[in-house]
Amino acid sequence: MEAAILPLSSTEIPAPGPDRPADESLLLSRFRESDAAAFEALYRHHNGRIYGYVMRLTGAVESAEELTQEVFVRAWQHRADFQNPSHFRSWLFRVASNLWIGQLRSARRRTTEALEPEEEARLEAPSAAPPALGLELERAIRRLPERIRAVLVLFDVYGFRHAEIAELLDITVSTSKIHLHRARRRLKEVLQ
Amino acid sequence: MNEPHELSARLSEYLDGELDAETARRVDAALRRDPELAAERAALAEVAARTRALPRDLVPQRDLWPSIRERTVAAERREGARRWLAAAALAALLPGLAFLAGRWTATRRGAELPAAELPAAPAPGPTPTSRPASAAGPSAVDGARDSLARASLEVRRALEEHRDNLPSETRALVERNLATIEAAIGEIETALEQSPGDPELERLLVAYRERELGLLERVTRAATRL
Repeated sequence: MEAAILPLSSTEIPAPGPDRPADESLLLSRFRESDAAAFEALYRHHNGRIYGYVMRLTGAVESAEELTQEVFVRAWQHRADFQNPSHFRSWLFRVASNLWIGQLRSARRRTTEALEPEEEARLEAPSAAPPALGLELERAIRRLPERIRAVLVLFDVYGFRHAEIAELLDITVSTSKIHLHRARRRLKEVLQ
Repeated sequence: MNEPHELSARLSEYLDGELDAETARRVDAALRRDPELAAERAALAEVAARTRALPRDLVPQRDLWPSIRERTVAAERREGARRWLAAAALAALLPGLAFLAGRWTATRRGAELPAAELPAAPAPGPTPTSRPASAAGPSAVDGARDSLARASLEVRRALEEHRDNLPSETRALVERNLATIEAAIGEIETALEQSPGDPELERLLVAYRERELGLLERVTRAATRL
């Protein structure tokens, strides 16, 4: 059975940049045609953002790496669906959010069973922190309750609007606003 | 209504420009007269500013691309195997289902189908030519049918051991196709109860048992290779 993936031809792909939407549209077009080099270029362009998002959601390197990989594997599987760069970016965040929510639910189901001592220790152990800049703030964010943490990260760090956040997290706009306010108030208390 | 508390809860929306004009004016007025509220606004504004200054991109500790690439290639292979099995199952089913539909239609109309249209079936063993198959007691067709049923059962057992190797979608597809074949076999057996020894029905039953066995064998071989 032939693979549907074209061979790498990275020299043909221009390096994308955040302010070069025309290049990303070209990449998406080639990505839809199963061009592996285009896929890698898109991954290189977006992976920092997705990894940053899930790292702040999970607070754990292993989970963040796994979620990041799964997001892009699914992007490949749905490559025919992406019409434009904005849609692609939103889709990545939506899948990352869904996978994280699924992980939370699994974790809650698992906590009803007894954890092995070494698993408990791993859950409680401090994970690798993001770069030094804003380290205290990053740690404080990681200690926020999950749902309000997600809203804060999406709104303040990644610039999503409440209507978009509501869709990503399957909550109402009103709830998104309340969560954001609660998150900021908690951070204020921790950081002052 | 506790206005200071209510307005305090709206401070983030005020900071983000999310309030309607009337509510924003009320917050402005409250901020001018209430120094505690003003201090809280300033503190929240600082938190928001610091959070917005965090880097959007974080670099993973290792390059995740090789693993992503490997997983997408593996997923493509599994998808290819699923499509092949689906096509094989469909190819096994279509001629027989088309024949069955024609058979029932012809039966209801009282017509006979030409023998050439019947699916190939093992030739029955020596049988007295003066008697129909049913009158000869257990026939070679019965023997073939029973042998095939036993063989299918054995292959099913082997498949059961390896079924977890198959992707869940493939398993579901195979199970649906097997259910369709079993339903057809059930209908033929019901028809045979009403028309015992009907040679066409018996040959059709053998043919369907062969198809079932063939599909099971192909799926089992694929599952043991994955």
